[in-house]
Amino acid sequence: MKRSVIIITHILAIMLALAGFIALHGYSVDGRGISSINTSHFEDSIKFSDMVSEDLSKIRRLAVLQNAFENDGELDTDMLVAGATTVNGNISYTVSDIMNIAKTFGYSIDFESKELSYTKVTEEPNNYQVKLHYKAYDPYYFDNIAPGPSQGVMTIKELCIETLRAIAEYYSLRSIYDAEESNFKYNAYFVSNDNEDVSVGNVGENGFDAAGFGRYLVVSDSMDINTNINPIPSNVMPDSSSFGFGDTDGNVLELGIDTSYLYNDRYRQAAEDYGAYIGRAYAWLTAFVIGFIVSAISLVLVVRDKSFVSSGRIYALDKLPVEGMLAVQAFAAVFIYALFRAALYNFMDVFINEDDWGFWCITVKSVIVYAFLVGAMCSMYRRSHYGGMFKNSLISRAIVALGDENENTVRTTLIPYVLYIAVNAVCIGGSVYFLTNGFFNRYYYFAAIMLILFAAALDIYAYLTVYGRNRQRGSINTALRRISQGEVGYTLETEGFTGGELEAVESINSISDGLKSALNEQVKADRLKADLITNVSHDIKTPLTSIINYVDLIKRENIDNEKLREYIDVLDKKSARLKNLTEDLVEASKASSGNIKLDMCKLDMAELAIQAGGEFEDKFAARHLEFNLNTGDGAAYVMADGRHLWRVFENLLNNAAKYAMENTRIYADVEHIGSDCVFSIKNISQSKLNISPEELTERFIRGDVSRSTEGSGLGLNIAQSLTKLMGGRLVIEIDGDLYKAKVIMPCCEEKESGSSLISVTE
Amino acid sequence: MQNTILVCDDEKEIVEAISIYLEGDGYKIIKAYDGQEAVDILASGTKVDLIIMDVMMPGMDGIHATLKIREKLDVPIIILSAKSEDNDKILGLNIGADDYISKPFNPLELMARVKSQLRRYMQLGNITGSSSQAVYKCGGLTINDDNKEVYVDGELIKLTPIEYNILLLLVKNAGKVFSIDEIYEQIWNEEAIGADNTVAVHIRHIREKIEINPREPKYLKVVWGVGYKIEKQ
Repeated sequence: MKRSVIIITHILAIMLALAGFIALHGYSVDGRGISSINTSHFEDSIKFSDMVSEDLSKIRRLAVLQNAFENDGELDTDMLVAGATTVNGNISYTVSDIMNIAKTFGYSIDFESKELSYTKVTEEPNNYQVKLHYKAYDPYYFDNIAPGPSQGVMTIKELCIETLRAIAEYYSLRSIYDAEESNFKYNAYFVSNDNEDVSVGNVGENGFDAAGFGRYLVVSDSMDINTNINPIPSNVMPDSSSFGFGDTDGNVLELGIDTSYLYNDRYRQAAEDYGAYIGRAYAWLTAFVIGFIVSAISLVLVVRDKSFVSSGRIYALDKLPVEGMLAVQAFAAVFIYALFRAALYNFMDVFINEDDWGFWCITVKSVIVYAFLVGAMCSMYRRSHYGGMFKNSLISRAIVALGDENENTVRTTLIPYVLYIAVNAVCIGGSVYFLTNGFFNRYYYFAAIMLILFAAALDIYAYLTVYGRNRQRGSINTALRRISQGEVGYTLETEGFTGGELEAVESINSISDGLKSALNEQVKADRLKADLITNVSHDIKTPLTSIINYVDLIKRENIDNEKLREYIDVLDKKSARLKNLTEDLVEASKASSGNIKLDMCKLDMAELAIQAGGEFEDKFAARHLEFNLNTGDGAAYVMADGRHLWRVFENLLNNAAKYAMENTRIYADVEHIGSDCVFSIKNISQSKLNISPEELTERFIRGDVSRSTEGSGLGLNIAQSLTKLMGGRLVIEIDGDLYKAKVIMPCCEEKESGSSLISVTE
Repeated sequence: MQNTILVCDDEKEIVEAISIYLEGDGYKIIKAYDGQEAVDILASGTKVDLIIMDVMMPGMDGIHATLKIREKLDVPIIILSAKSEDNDKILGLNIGADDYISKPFNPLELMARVKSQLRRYMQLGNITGSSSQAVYKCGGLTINDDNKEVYVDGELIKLTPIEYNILLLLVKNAGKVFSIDEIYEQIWNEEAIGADNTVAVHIRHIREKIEINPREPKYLKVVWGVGYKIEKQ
């Protein structure tokens, strides 16, 4: 609801601004743009200057006509107005002659109304052609008409009409310019082309003081223009020279305009109109400004509307830098206009009046620009909303880059590159200049060659620098790759490296050294730990040996005491258990610390499973377990250490033998799954497995919480560590009482033949 | 005949226990409590038929003592050590010891190994005399194919016909690894089908019969994931 109000406001405001603009556009035709509104006085406006200019032309015309038709200030019908050669020989026409002839065609001048009138004549008079020698009302006749066979010839009818028109014009101009009650005063005196003194004006014989008027224009005999009209009417110079200024002496041209506009004439009308226009112009300007501001604000409000951003969408456009986004919008606007221009023109051709084409073109352009402006504003708003407005602009990036001490890319790359381009451009441009302008001038050629050589030297130097840098980069990359691939301690010779690369190399070397020593420390610590466990177990083994031996010796004595025999049995079992524990503990610590020698070779997991099955046959039989091995599709070759993998299998089978429910079946499978070979063993657990698979592989965790059975609780942990060391995985799954263990090893490609297997020795 | 055995260990109780076992079997025991003592006893000219030597001892350790003894004597030496790493075993066997038992040991295993070593040392070459017969030898393992008899360190071993055939195949091709399928095809003269642990079970039985410690076989070795072989000696 609120949003629609804002949108409607926006549209209305745009229309208001547009109306104001169009109105201003229509009125502001004086070529001074919006500043013409500032000209509050009509006398200062271009309109005023134009009016004076027009009057100047007209009084010149009036002077010519007065000279042609007047004698002593009145129209003289005996004035010779034209000379011509006719079929009847050379004839001169006076005003009255012309009038009489004209009457025969139906044309006449009504001297009362001083208007040309036409009465249709029934009989068409003889309309012969005359060759004109001169026309009094057109002093430039001979100057303008080049003598030629068909030129300077007109019919007598045309001559009559033209003359009558000139007379009508004479009357018309006199009525305007002779008027006493006029704000426009003028006085002119000059010598006409036919050497007659011509004096025109509406101020009487004595002349007047033009400079006393509000606006004046005085042209002196030497064509100095003295005026306070701005701008000076453009036709002052040509018109005054046609008055004869500069050719003859004593010419006068004075104009004065009474700016108090005493009389109600065209100047007063114009001044009043102008005042009204200025008033309206201010209103329009205000309308435009208000409309513009309101539309802008409402646009911002519309764009800011929550629904515009709450969707949280970030468009691809918003990811561009601000400048890039604006450039894209501008380009898109231009592109769309270019795309539709042809269609638009055809459309306008059909539907729109030619006079309005310009307006519609501008309107369509404005609409397109407006549409993309709205898009840009939306993007800008989303940017400001998400805080990326300035951070994501090229300018701020450049500023940050320049200001940041660490970011010396600009200093080391951009500036040298710009300099490089500039020097190259100067050298190439200079040499081209010298070559094209130095026609056989040896100094020019020499300069051109020197510039080319300099540019070439610079380019070679730049190439060598870039090449050297890249080579250095290459070795740095190699070093980094090797270090990241585990070759810690890899160092580079600092020799041959420069600048930033030298720093990088030094950093890499120190990182590498640090890594190496850290790794050494780590390895040392691991080894120490493993060694500690090994040593402790050695120390335990020695007394344990005695315990086992003496327990055995006691057992050999014939002891009658039943209780004692029972106790010795416990001692025997527990000492055996302790023995297992110490051995498994050493193995577990070694396997988990990776402190174990691997002798990896290609072997068949299926074969190993069969061998293991054979080894455990009696153990399974003892608990009535049926061992079902399915090797599926035969050989499953993997890369592994046979003895360690056997240890893994042994531990798994051992668990099955120990923890499987009696009289059940144990299923084992060897199969290919993807690129892995998987050995899996499944059995039903004797006791409840209320334990997670992850816990099972932890040290000292056993399937039976009571720990009643034999075992160190390290079996699965050892199996897991060993499998991991050989590049595989041990996965334990528990589903109710179903216990499932999987050894997953990556398959080995069967490239090698079986014979290589035979050569494996232990 | 009463064989003399030198037992050398810094743990008096262990020496004592071993002595009890060995004396029980009728051996004469000489006790030493460090390497130097053992070397001195031998240097004094005392006749000894077998030496049981600990490794970690104060003063001269077992390794140095063994080296020293081997300079003059070729009596069997069994190393008895708490160190059970492969490297330790390899080191001990390389410097001249004949056998290596890691602590804590099974007394019965020790007795068996002592007997085995003594048999070989005392009766060396007794059977080899009958050269006309089809006899295959591999270390202490001897197979007489004419009368189908198998001896380990001179002691007759009883094997079933299939076990005998498997062992013969492996001994004839000592050093070569046979896969389960190969063994099956050779012995049963049938094509092997599927995962049958018959061969593996037979092999285990053979091992139990000919080896002192079947878990650490000396003759019939398991190449895990590949097959079985008799170590060439």
